[in-house]
Order: sequence, then structure tokens, then C-alpha cells
Amino acid sequence: MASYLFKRLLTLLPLLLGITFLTFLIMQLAPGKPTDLITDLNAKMSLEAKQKLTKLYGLDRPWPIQYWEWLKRLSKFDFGKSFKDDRPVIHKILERLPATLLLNFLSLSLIFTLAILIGMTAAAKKGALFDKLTTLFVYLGFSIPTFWLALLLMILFGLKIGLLPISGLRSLNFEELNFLQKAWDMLQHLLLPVSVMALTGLAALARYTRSSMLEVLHQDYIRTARAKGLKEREVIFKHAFKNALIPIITLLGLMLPELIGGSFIFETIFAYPGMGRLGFEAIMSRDYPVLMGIGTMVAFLTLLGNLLADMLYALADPRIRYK
Amino acid sequence: MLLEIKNLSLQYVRGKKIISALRDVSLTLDKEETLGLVGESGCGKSSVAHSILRLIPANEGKITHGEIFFEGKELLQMEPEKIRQIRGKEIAIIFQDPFTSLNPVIPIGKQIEENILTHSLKTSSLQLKEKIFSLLEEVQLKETERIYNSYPHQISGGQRQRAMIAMALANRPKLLICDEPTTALDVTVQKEIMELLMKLQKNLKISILFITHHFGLIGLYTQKLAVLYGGEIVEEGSTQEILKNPQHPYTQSLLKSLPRKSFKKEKLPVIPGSPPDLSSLPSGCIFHPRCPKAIEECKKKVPLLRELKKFNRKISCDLAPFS
Repeated sequence: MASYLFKRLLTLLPLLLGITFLTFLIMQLAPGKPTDLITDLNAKMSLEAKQKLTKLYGLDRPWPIQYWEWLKRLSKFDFGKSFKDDRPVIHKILERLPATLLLNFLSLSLIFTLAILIGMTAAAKKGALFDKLTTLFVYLGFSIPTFWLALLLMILFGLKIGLLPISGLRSLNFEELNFLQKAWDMLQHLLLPVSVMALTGLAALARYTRSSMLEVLHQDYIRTARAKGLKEREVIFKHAFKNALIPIITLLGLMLPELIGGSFIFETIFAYPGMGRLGFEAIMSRDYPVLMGIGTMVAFLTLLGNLLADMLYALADPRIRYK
Repeated sequence: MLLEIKNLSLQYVRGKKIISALRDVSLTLDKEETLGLVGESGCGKSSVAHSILRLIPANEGKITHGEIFFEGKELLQMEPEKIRQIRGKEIAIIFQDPFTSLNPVIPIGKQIEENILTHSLKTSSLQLKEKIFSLLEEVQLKETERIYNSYPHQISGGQRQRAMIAMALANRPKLLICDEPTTALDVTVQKEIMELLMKLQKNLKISILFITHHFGLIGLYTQKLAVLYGGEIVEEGSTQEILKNPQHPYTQSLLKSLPRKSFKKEKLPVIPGSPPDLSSLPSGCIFHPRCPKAIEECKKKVPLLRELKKFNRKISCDLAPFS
């Protein structure tokens, strides 16, 4: 197991390198330069000053060299500085990470708990009213675009009813509040984004759990469990669930990077101070170092998530052993 | 009388098709007796076994009429909780494929343990473990400690089936249903398992409903025999008498088509045609399209299972006796 893990970790390196290379390449292909925002939009900027700025950022050199320079810095765990405000990329990421973690941790736990419960109940009562209702709900959840639902809910709860704040994570007077009030304030801010995220994520996972569970319920060992006289609850939760869980672990691994990467569109709509919005802003201003920093981290976590899922497989399914 | 099945009829629903899997099947089984139920694949043997324990999912099949009495209690109308208490305690079952019938993610010991726990009040864990070890020894498993901790995939097919038997006998049932218990095993293991079952039957004084398509095993190990064809009992009586002098044309053809040592080069006789389509039954006698002795009358009149006093058995052929 240990040597397997070591081997897997080693193979992560070339993969990660490849991903950063492609990210860098695609970034170069996008029209516009980081300096455009400061130079082209500024009439007073002379050509000379523009060239000076380009040189300062090292943008005058061919892109393979730029990539090489970036790699050299990365090997010292230096993500560089933002083109926009000259602050270290790592600081910019770290200050945004907790907000994204909070939002995604809440919605992912909600998604997993509810989806597994709904999926399992729907499978156990296949064809019943509950199952039909969830099917309908899943279709809705699948087909409703997140941003549209988010906007509608913002209009309803934020403007029409005026019950919930529609953007950000904290109110303006946040610093003046005591601990309980702070928590309440954040909860209010989180309610809409968490529910919208959960609602749309729930659909896919609930459906997935249901089909996984249905497949398991047809297995011979479920019949054996019933023939032993186990209670239906035990059959479902002990015998079926453990087996139905195995494919769901893959999804968990895939969702891990999302937990940290955040969603570009989603965080932008809610003006949520997380990684997704940082990434979005970085793209709009062609802030290469920040983009590369986020890209690298998300790529690394995706790979790690896959590895983690493989490890969890072995835990859940004794038939799988890694050598 | 321990078990009495009266006019059991079962239908499966597959989309718009209604498959009439069992029609008016009646069987009786006395204490400490072994009854063989024999027939081709798809004739309904397993459906009989599953009906007794009510293991047929409601959305797949329905028992349209009939009664099953076990020690005088009717099983089909019994409350779900009551039938649960009978499953695995009074009536146990061993399935055909010991690999798919054991849960792949639960160790053998735990799977046996559940069977004991679900039917008894709290037992100390030490006593429980001792009991499971003695059960494993009873089915002549060596290395009980290893088997106890093993997952199904870590032990051989024969060991798995022995573990299944240990599980089935854990609560000392009165009736053991063996649904093709040796079909998935190779011939040498098959003999060992059969001998073990017979020895345990003698020691524990249990009745066995033995389902198979193997006439050799029927002849060796059963006292009574029922031949099932297309969901109907066609001949029923003492095993030795039926094997010696079969009266129903189906039983006759079936016995003729068994390979014997005396066969040299001539072709093995086969029954022409194929088993009836249970979603559209032939008119008259169900066997008439394949019957070598059929006359015009057989296409119209449905033969009833009747007593054939002279041969000490029941038969559903109006033309019998033939000899």
C-alpha cells in the first residue's frame, strides 16, 4: 500500500507539469495582455512607458522562456506577484480560501447527506410517489441553470421580500457585532448561495445514488440478507448501502477540487469573496501569475482528489487491494 | 406434515407481458424428509423456493392464489414482521451461487453473526464468536479463525458454500431449502457438499426441499420427488419408483435423455422443441407440443393432476398409465 501510494504520488508530478504547461499556453492564446488595462485605457501613457512596463513584467520575452521562469519560481514554492496590485499570489489565494471552503463545505455536506438519503429512499420505494416526485425534482435540478435560479431567488428573497442579503459574506457593520450576531449575519449571507448550490448539485447525486442503489438491490446477496430474516432497515443500510457507496466515492473525489476551487460564475453572481471570483477577476485583467497560481492549486487538488478516491475505494471494497 | 403448498400460482410482470410462472403447484413435505423438486431451467423451481419465504419482490411478481402452510401456519397472508421472524430461523435457504449470494464487503463471520443476532436476544460477544466457530466446524471448515475474518472473495467456492450452510443452520431451522446448492461447484466439491448436507440433516433432524436439475443427486439423496414442467407439477411420488418406472411422458423423455455409461456411439435422445413460453401457454396439456405420445385430445383438454393408485403417485397426464 505504501509503495503504491509513493508510485502514485510520483506520477502526479509529470501530470501536474503538463497541466500547468497547457494552462500557460491557453492563457497566452487568449487575446489581450496584462498591461492593456493600464496602458491602452490610459491616454496619457506613452509608448515608451508601455514598453517599460512590458519589460518589467517580463512579457517581452518569448512565452516558453516566461513559462520556464514561472516554473523556476514554482520550484521554490513562489507563485509570484499579482500584476494587478503587486501582492504575492499566495497571499491573495489564502485570503480568499476560507470563504470558498466555508461555502463549499456547507453545500457539499448538504448535498451528500440529502442526496444519499433521497437516492436511497427513492430506490427502496421504486415507483412510489416519493420516487416519482424525486424524479421530477431531479429533472428540474438538472435543467435549471444555476445562475438563473440564483438571480430569481435573489430577486424574491432579497428585493421582493427583503428577508436575506443578496451578496457578499458579511454586512457592512460586521465588525461592530458580537460573536452570535456575527454568526447569524454570516448564516444569512450564506443561506442563498448554499441552497442554490445544494439544490442543483443534489439532483445529479441523488439520481446517481438511486441508480447505484437499485443495481445493488437486485443482487443475490440482498436476497440472502432478506432470507436471513434481517429487518428491511438492516438490509438497506447494512447490506445495500455499503455496496452502493462504492461508485459514489468517485464523485466525492471529483468534488474535492470544487471544494477549494470554487465556482467562477456562482461566486461572481453572489459577489462572494472566494477563489472563484478571484479567478474570474484574474481572467478579466489577464493577471497571469494569479491565474497560474489558482490553476496549479486546483489541478493539484484534482489529482489528489482522484488519488484519495482510489484509496477510499480500497477501504470500502475489500476486493480492491493496491500493490 | 411440516410444509404444505396448496395450488400455488405465481405471475411475473415484465413490461406488458404476464408470465405465468407457477400454476396450481401443490407439494407436501414431512418432518425429516427430503423432497426433490426437479425440472429444466426456467420451469419455476426457484420460484417455488422463493415463494415459500416470500422473497419475490412485489414489483416483480405476484402470487395470484394458493396457500402455503408451515407447521399449520399460513405464510402468504402472514404479516411482514411475522414472516421475517420465520425467515432464517424456522426456514432457511441456501442459494445456487455462493459467490454472488454472500455480501462482498462484509466478512464471513459477521454475515453469520447477523443471522444469529437478528433472531435472538442479546448474547455476549464472546459466546457469539464461540458459537460461530462451532458452526464453522460443524460444516467441516478448517482454519475457522481465518474463514471467520475472511471476505467472500478470499475463500474458495466450496468454502463459501459451506459458510452459506453454516449461516443457514445457525438458528437450527426446521426446514432447509436448497436451491441448486451444488450447481455452481465442481463435481468433487459437489459430492462433499451433498454428503455434508445429508449428515447435518440426520444430526439436526431437519427437512430439506432440494431443488435441482440433476437426476443423479435426486436419486441418491431424496425420498420424494416432484417433476416440474412449465410451472406445473407433472409427476409426483416416491423418488425410487418414479426413477424406475416414470409414467408421465415428460419424465420418461427426461430420463431417456440422460447420458449413461451404456451409451456408445449413438446420439443422445433429446426432447424435441423447447420449453413452453410462459407468457403464451399452449392449449390443452402444456406438454403436448413436445410429447411423443400426444393425441388430438391432448390439444384441447387440460389434464388435472390425479392420483395413480397403481403406481403410488400423482400424475397430470390423461393417457397414463402407459406400461
